[in-house]
Amino acid sequence: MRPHGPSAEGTGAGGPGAGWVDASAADGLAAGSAAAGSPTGGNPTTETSAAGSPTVVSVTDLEIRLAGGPVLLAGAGLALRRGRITALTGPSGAGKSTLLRALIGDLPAGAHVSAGRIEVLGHDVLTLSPERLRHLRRHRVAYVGQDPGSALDPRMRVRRLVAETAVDPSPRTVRNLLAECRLPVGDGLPDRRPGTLSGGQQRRVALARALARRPDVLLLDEPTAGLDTALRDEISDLLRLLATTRDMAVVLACHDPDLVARCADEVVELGKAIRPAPRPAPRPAAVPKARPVRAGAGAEAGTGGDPPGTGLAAHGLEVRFTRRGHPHRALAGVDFAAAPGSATGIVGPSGSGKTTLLRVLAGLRSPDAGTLTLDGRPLPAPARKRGRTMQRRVQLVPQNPLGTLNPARTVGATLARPLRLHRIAAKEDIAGRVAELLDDVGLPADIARRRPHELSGGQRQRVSIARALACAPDVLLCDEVTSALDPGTATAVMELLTGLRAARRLTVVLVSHELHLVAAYTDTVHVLEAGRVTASGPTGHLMPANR
Amino acid sequence: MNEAAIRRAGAAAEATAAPAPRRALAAAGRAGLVLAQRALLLSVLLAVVFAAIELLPGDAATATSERGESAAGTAARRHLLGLDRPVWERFGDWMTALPTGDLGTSARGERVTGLLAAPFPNTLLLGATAFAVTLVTALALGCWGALRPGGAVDRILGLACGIALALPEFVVSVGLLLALSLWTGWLPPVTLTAPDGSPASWTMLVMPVLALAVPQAGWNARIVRGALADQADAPHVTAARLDGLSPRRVLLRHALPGAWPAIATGAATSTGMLLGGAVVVETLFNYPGLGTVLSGAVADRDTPVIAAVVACTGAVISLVLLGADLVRARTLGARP
Repeated sequence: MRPHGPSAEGTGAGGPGAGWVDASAADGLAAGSAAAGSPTGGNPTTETSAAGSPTVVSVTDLEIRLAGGPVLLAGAGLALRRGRITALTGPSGAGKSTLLRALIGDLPAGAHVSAGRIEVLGHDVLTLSPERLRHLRRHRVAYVGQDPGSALDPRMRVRRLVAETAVDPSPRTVRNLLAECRLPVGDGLPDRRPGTLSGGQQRRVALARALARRPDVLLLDEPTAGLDTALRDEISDLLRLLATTRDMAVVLACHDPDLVARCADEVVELGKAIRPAPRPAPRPAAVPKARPVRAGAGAEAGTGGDPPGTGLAAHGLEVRFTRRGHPHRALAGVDFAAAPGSATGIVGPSGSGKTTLLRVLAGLRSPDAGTLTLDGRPLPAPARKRGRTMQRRVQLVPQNPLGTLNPARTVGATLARPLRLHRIAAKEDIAGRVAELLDDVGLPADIARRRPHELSGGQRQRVSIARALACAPDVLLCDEVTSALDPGTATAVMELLTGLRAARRLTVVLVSHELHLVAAYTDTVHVLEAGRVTASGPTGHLMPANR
Repeated sequence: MNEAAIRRAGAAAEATAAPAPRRALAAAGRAGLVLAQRALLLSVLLAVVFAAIELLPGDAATATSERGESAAGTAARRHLLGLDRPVWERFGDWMTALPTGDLGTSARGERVTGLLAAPFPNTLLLGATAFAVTLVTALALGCWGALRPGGAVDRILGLACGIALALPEFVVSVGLLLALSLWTGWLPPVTLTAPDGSPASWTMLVMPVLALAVPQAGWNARIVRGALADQADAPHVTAARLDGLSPRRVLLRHALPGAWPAIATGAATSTGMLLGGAVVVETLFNYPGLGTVLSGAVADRDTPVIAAVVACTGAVISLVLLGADLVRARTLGARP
């Protein structure tokens, strides 16, 4: 793990710290292009620190707060060195994303730094002129956000997305970069647009786009959320390799203890003391609350819900896409069944059609062939033909909460809408019910006044779960609902769903790459590969083999 | 004729894009359906025009009668013009003749096609030039303001565009006449017509075009600016900014493409305003276009001429709106 650079440099002029800062500030522009050409050699500003590799980013006692509002980040300290990977962990809402964005001089709207300083490659990013800051972002520090699906321009092809930031935008280099990020370049992926890629592929395209500029510092927010174990390991090996060969400082904010164990050299845990870690609402309180609501809604809808149905089933689902004239089958004859009160896991590699299957079940995409049934009765494929009761009974928690929560509405308004729409709560009870829903997913009630962009990734994901639960559904389709949650919160959310399953015979369909969650909280598993179910059966039989 | 050409071009484009002939056929069917809808819309519009003229006091026979013509003479001419028949019969006759290119006969006994042959291209030239000037100015001003949101340029432009869009065409025309013609003498104050019926020199187009374009450019610049402001908050635009791309690149490559649907729709609605404003502006500058023909025809209660003018301008507006819809479909189609 020793970087190659410093040994070749020998002793630089001046002492550590001040001398390095001055040199770097003086030739910031030149150093950017020099580093781009040869990342390990020829950088005059590199200085060996006491620990053996140079510190490129240092954050001391950083505190960020909203004007007159809550503290977003308190007393954060961080030191990044070349060639090393630092993991940033901490509970959801601890300020991991805020810290990463602050490193490139971007603070949330209305926020300011109330204490501490940030030094990146010798620049104080908080006082840097806009043009120098832009240069820093363009050539030396790359940031990949939590939600690459919406961060990639939906109208640009992958090829251009990567070439846009690349030092060398030639098609060959771009292909190599994509291949380096384990993307299949042979089947026309470079000519596709982000909307046609799976969540995992989007994430890797965003990574390729970040690497294309050959940065000195790479900031990754949840780099492996939504990726399966095999891909996650490949990505973490890739990061390891890049950190060493390119002598790059990597910092990743993540919840995944396996990833941290696998590739991080150092771990920085953020602000345990800022907010109490969100705890799940006590089960006995949550379950009885849900019961009368469901009964009322059921009586109003006339379906009762008591006669044991057969649950949600699908037969022979086919979904075809045409990609530049070439047909592509996202689902090829998939059969699916989930009994009431059961929990079914869907696992499989990235791009195998898991999300497409959920979207078909939710009625967001009509299959080209195949049928859906709910409790033995046919379920129309498009959601808008399903009628209000059917719509209420099948709910989807989407993969990408930022893209699916209305940015103009407060969380309270978002949650109140399904309550009103399906007449689940009386007008005067709505505020109380919203608070209960938030409590169920472990969020404080005052979140109801905030808007989605003011929340952390994990908080958004929980709001999105609460929105789906607001309709008192019978079937809950969860697409990577725990990808942005820390293990504690993820377990709490899964416990909540398990409690609802027992209390209301809620059917849970869980798409996840977190196999330990699937193993612990589902009873049946379907394994999806390239649009086909290759194995299905009781979790106990299938999962030990996968683990 | 226009529609047929577009249909052919559309079919050709579909054929190259889709390998399967069945898909090409389906696409052509969809295109045909869309064009049929537009045609239906146009005929409803023409029916409204016929009804509206019927409701105006007086008819073509009285409006065009010679001084001292006897009541019997007027009645005879009314019969000759077919005005004693019910309006829906006359509408039916006129509509069934339309596909053959026959626009009927005016109250003064001239072929309507002949009446419009010279003015219509002139108005199209005026309108198209004003449209191009509007679009370029609006895009330039909107993008300029969006480069530094809330900056001095942005605020001044916002105010100036607000004033420009509030100015009626005739006020702008009078201002232009004073400034460019009477005080400085740079441009001719009225349009002289060449023997072929077109304006004698391009300098005569400048002021009418500006008079039409200034209010519309104000309106469209505000739309461009607003659409870009919406896009600036999109996650992928934020991400592009955090990637350190230059403000110009972020604006032109990442924000503007997403703003096209709003811009195209705004510009397309301007077509109607441009052609409507042309009536006033053409009268003021004595420009030989449809405006003069139309105002004369309304005074004469000359239904076939009015309907023909409406049919021509309506077809143009309809085509531009169709183009805007295509831009929208194309841009939004690139999304998941």
